[in-house]
Amino acid sequence: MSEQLSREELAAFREMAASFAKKTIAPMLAHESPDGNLEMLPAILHQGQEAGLLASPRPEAAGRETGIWGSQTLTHGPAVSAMLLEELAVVCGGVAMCFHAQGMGTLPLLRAENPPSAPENVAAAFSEAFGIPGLFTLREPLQAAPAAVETVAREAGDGFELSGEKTFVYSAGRPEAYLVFARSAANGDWTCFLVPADAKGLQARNAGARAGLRAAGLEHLRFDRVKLDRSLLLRFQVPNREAVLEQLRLNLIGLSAIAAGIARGALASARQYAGERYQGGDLIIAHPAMQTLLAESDARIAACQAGVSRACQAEGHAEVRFREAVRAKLIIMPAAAGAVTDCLQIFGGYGYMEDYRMEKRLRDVSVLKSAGGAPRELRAILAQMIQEG
Amino acid sequence: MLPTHMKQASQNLSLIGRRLVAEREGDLWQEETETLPWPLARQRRLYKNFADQFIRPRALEVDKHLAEFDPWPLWHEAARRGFQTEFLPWPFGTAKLLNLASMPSPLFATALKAEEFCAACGGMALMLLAHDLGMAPLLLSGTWTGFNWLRRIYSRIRAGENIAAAFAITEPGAGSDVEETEGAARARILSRAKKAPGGYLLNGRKCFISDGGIASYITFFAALENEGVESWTCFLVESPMKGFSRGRREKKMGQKAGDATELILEDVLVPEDHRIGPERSGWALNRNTLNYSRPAVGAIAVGIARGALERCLEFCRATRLGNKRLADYQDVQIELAEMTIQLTAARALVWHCGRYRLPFQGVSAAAKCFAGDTAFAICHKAMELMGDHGYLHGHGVEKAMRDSRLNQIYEGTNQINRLALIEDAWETDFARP
Repeated sequence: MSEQLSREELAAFREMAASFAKKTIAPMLAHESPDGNLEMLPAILHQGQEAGLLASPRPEAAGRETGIWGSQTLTHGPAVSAMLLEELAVVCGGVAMCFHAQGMGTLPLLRAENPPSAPENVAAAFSEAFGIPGLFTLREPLQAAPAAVETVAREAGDGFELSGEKTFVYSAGRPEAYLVFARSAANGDWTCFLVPADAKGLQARNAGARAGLRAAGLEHLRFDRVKLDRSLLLRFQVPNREAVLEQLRLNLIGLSAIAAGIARGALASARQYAGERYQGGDLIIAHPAMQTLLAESDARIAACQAGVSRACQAEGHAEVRFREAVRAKLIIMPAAAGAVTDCLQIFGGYGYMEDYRMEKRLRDVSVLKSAGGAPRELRAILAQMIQEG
Repeated sequence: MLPTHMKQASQNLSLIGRRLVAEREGDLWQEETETLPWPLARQRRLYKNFADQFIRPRALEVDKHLAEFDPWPLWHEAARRGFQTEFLPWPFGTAKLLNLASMPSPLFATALKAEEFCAACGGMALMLLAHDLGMAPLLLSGTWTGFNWLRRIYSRIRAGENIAAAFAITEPGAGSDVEETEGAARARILSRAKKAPGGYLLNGRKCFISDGGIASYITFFAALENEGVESWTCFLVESPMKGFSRGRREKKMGQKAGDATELILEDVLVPEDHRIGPERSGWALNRNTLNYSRPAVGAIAVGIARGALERCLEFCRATRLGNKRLADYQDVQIELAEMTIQLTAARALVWHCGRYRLPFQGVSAAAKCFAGDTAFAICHKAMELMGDHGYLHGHGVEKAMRDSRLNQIYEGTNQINRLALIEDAWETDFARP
């Protein structure tokens, strides 16, 4: 069981993230472009490092412990990181995704028994081809899975040779290394490698234009017999499969927390707008039709937060905890997206324009619905778990 | 084919029994088209062919590189086929009398056009369709002045000039107000018309005006001096006119190729013959224009959703998951079926409006609301079915999602439209003792 932080400590963390989001991230969005001035992103990430919010594998970095998905996750569980992500996402889902992706790449390095020397910016690569087939292979024999993990590591000489493809790899922009989950050619077991971005045979391709979360990097990777030193293979205290399950669980929790944060940001903006603008001679907020939208949004956001909290608190076997996270994302995403679109509606025509950033929130949350596990995939996993009791 | 399939099993029926079984060879679009009177079925095919040839291939490129989009070549292609002058028959316009006679509603063809164009691209379609909205008050005013302007504008379009129209009601401080009775009564309408020698002096601002950036003719609604919205009067403002200027072009989430532009009038002198209808007839003219246009807006939503479904289906057929196509999975099929059902229901409601010779507020609002909400839900479902690929621009489905969201907002938010339905049927249905 993880150690619990005191209420005061949690409040201090939350305040720090909220303040960072307001002072450091919000100015990026003052720029007149759909996703703000993305050229400010490196400076924001740098300040995030200094503030200890951005996870880092470097021993001397503040974020190694206190960062989002930093080593505090190993002692206190995922609740703190989820809370921090939610706070950042209140202002910008895309920047929150950067912090989340960096944490996802960092945490396995902190968890490993033999952490190799790693650069600052690491991204985790789970998905292959269509969505997250890795989820299926966690539960089915490799050959029977609807989509097997094709990225394979073979022993070659003193090290390994990695071949295959990974898709939809999120990062904090320009990763220097990737954390790659592959299967062993020898026994089909999961393996995890740290792969330098400049490794020979590794091709990274930008995923191209997309609806939202544009602050975060998004790439597809191709490994063409990439030679890796044995020291780059990570070993964990728990079986590799459990380590992967835990990683996927945290990914789902993080994405859900970001969605909850985006919805909270949308509600705060809608509340403010509705209290300032008039329709039919009355403040918008005085109209029952608008009150209904605000109330629905408020209730949905509370449900999102409860779902994240429940997933964070899950205990027991790795599969049981993973199941909670799958349930959470499945329920939270439509609730968060519903809240965002209802809040956008309060703005009328202005909600559809870039000015109030409501359309950005809708784009961001729409991406989150499918990122890291679309509803169909999550339902399939849950159904399988239900079948097995 | 399994022996339990209907096509196979029906061979065991009697001769007459076999005759009573529907033999379906075409796809769903073809089957639905066949239900239309033949002139309209033909017209639907013409719209589709045009959209497939001129709109669909450029949809993603225009959405991504909007600054490079020149609307006029597409406009003229549509105009050459008669699609931009369909409110009047020959010799003034290109409306086909058989089309007009085929359905009770004279504007049914507009709904067909909206769906076909929007299935290809909501933005470019809006650019073409907003012109009809701008012209509608001229027709619906029922005046010689209105007819005469319609005729003159159509003749310039047919001559190949860069001529478009726009409908201007929304104001910076009064969005939904101008689409609703109670709100309007208390709204702060700032566009004003003051009687002046030779005509009227117009002052005011309109915002979010579709095609405002390209229109040469704007049906502009303004209140008379010292009076409220009940005094609204419609004027035909020409660009350029002294004192007329354009403000900012809005940066929209979707339907980007159709501009939404602010229009600014500062002491614009509009001659008497530019007044469309009597003084104080503008409010009724505005509301009736919306009654006619909202089913078309519903059709826009249906078209955008259909485009999303078609692209999603294409992906589900092309993508293999394990040893079979995504489309072969039962859970995917259920989602696809649900989307098809919703789409069919939305189209049915839009087409239902065509059964009324004169569309009225309640039925128009119902079609606009239902189709708008349904389209947004379908687009989201399509995105989700495609997993991470759903949010990539290259597949076109996330664009459809962005495009569809506007349908819950323009021509009155869907909340306003629901209240419009209640208002319309209050005394006849809802408040009846």
